[in-house]
Amino acid sequence: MTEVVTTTKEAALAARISEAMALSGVVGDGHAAQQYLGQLPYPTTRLERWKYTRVARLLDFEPQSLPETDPPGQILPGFNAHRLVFTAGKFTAGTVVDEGKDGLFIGPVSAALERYPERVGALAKSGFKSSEWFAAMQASAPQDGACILIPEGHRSDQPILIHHHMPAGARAAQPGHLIQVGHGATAEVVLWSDSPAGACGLMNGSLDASVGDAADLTLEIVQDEAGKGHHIGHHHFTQGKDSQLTVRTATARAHWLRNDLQITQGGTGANSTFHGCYLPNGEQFVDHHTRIDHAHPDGQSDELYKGLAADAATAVFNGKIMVHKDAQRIEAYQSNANLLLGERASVFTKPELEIYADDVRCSHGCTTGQFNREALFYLRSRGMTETAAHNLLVQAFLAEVLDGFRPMIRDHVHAVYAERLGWT
Amino acid sequence: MSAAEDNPLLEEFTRKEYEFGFTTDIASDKIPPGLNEEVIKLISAKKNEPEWMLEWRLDAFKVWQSMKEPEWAHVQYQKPDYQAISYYSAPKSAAPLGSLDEVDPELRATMDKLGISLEEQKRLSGVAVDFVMDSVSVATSFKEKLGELGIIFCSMSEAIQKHPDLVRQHLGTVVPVKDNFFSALNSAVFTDGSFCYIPKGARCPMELSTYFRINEAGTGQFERTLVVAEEGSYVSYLEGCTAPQRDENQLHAAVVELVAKDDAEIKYSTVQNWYPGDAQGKGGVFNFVTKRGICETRAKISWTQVETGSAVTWKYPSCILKGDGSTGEFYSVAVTNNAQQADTGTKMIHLGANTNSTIISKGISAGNSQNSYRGLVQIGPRARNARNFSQCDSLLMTDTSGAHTFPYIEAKNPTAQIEHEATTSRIGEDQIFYCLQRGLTEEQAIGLIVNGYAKEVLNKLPMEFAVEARKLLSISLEGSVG
Repeated sequence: MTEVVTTTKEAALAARISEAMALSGVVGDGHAAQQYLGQLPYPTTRLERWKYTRVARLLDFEPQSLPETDPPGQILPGFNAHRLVFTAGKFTAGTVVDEGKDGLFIGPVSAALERYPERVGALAKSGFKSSEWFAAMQASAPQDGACILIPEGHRSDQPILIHHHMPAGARAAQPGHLIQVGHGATAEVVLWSDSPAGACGLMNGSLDASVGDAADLTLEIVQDEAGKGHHIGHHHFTQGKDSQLTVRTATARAHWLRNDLQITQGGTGANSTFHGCYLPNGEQFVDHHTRIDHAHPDGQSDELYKGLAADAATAVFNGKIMVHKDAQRIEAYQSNANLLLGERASVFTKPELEIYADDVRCSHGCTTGQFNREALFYLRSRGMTETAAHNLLVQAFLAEVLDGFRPMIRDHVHAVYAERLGWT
Repeated sequence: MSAAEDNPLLEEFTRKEYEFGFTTDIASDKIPPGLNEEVIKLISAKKNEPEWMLEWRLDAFKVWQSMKEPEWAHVQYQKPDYQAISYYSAPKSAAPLGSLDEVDPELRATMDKLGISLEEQKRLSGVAVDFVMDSVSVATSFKEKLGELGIIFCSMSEAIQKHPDLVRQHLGTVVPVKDNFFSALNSAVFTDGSFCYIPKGARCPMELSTYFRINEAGTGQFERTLVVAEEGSYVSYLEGCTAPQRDENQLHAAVVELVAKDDAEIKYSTVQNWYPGDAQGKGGVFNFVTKRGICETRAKISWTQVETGSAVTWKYPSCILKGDGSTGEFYSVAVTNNAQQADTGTKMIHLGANTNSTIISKGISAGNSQNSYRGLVQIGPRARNARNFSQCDSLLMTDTSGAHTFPYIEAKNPTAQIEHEATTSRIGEDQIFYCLQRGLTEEQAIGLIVNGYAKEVLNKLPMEFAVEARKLLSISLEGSVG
């Protein structure tokens, strides 16, 4: 036996994470990803997609193998949903729905792989995984995640809530969730991730969804993570002809977070809506990278990301609209608005358009600024304190995104923001 | 159905020959291709430069050797072989000229063809022209008249001889040698360019203009322009460029530095019409240019550019808003056709308080071209109450062309106000329909709409150039929509 010599720091990090994953149980085959992981560069600020996102410190991350904890408490207790709970990448609670070979399946990926390997196999293959280090890392040692297979024409009557909990301590987790919505089917999914104040681990998770022809998927992502953890999320969607996709992301609380959202419209007449909001304060860091590929004609997309950076926090937004050759009659709108409130806060945004077809209507708008002085003056003249007026304006600013969530989630995110920024 | 089939005018446009593609057959002094320390020493010796200038060049050459050619721009091209270029070419009659009448008649004819008859200019338009052919300045008009005001307007080599202190004080302060690959190359081998100095409080009474032309085959053009506007002064500077039609790619790597001291204003306009290559993308000029200005307190720098030529453009005229209350402006129309590629935009770097910048960029893509806007707006932590407005519009003429926008917005001060908006579309059918039913032909309608589209920028050009720019644009506009 020859001893494996790890020469680079990133190879050592990959080895440490893989080892931790192996201990908790890898679900699926990561061999292909391991191949290209070794060839990919570890992100540095010299790489365009990581220009503002520093991950050098993560190179020293040492995942600890800590004892298993009790399942987390129920979130949104009044919410009538089919619940699947995962703790640090392991399936810990929830009932499995299995209606046979071509029927509805809601459960962990591990069970789906055992029962229907052919249905699950093709889902997790995203080209992105062969081009980005952290995505390849996740794919090379994937953990369990939710698997939702909605058969053709099925209209689910109940939303599905995927709850991923990251317990305290320096743990590593690499959950991989899979969603497939069949022809003409509809599904509503909530992806919820949380962690307690003592968490300081690395959450490097993925979600791959395929939305079939004329299908409709609504996904609400809530990230409510206390502690000092790092979270890198890879969310990939492919859409069929005339399909509808809505993704709303609320970063309610995060110490250091990077979201990569990618949508590929793989059929004509697809419609995508993706909205998001973020509100880092203190020394927090939130980075949203989005990309939509209009690969076929007659597609539409509507993107809206709003956020603010307070204190010494950093907010990053990068949105790319790509209209491929011959993808005519595309209507793509992108809007990004930022409030910069802290003396030492920073906002970096890069709204990109790359267009190779001529009959398109594409636009993006991007603003960075402060409160409207007149609005502030109006509220003050009505007897509000400056803080109360600020808070009201922030709420109004975020409402455009938050109001799109179901009321229960909207209220929760609102309450978290209120607690963090001291709204009354 | 392609646009060209049902529109004869578009066909005419896409076949339109490059108007300035002639070569001038005059004897020239050209050194063999290749780049090494000896060549740099030779250039410096030919120009009879002082020792410090040679040292500066050699240092720059060392820096350049350690640098890599950048690849981040959204353009694809065969990298030039830097050893196959001749770094010095000058029309033979390089003896000092007493008056314009002594200029080589062939050269005079060239200028006439380019529409910059020095005589005419002298009498009618009151524009002082510096004409740079193959990197060497051959004629500068109106020198005495400017001299009365203390304004220095001459070629860079003359400035190095006659005003070494001024050159030494400012050269490389805005665009350092190490700034990028092409600025380092330029610093090592630049052969000429224009130098302009406006003393304190002077208001330059006429437009200063430089006309650049690459004439010789197998040469590159590396000119260096330095404009220094002292406290409270004003100058408007124009620059035009053309090159003959050749099958090979010619390299143009210029550096332009502007220094605007307190309360000074510099207006810098460019009409760039280098040879763009033929319809298949063969030949054409690689235009890799570094242009940057620095603004002291309450100073203003305004860049206006009309970009219609070059096979590949890589150009970001920028403003460093160092002083409080300074202003930067960037107005651009970039037209690409056939196989042209352009990656152009600006950088507005706000360092001082109450700084203000405006960016208006209009891209028009036709044929198989790729047209990108790339811009940076950076608000530093000390730039209180900085304000930026950016607007980047793209107009697509064909379904084989591309229009791209890559804006970078970095804010580090909570008092910053930044707005950016970009749209991409083709000419609205409803707009054309409206014009048609008012009795206009389709070509007139398109001309009207696109002219209106670019008007915001064209209006910023000085009158003399606006005419040329409109003419250039109109060639590209006629019926280029299907």
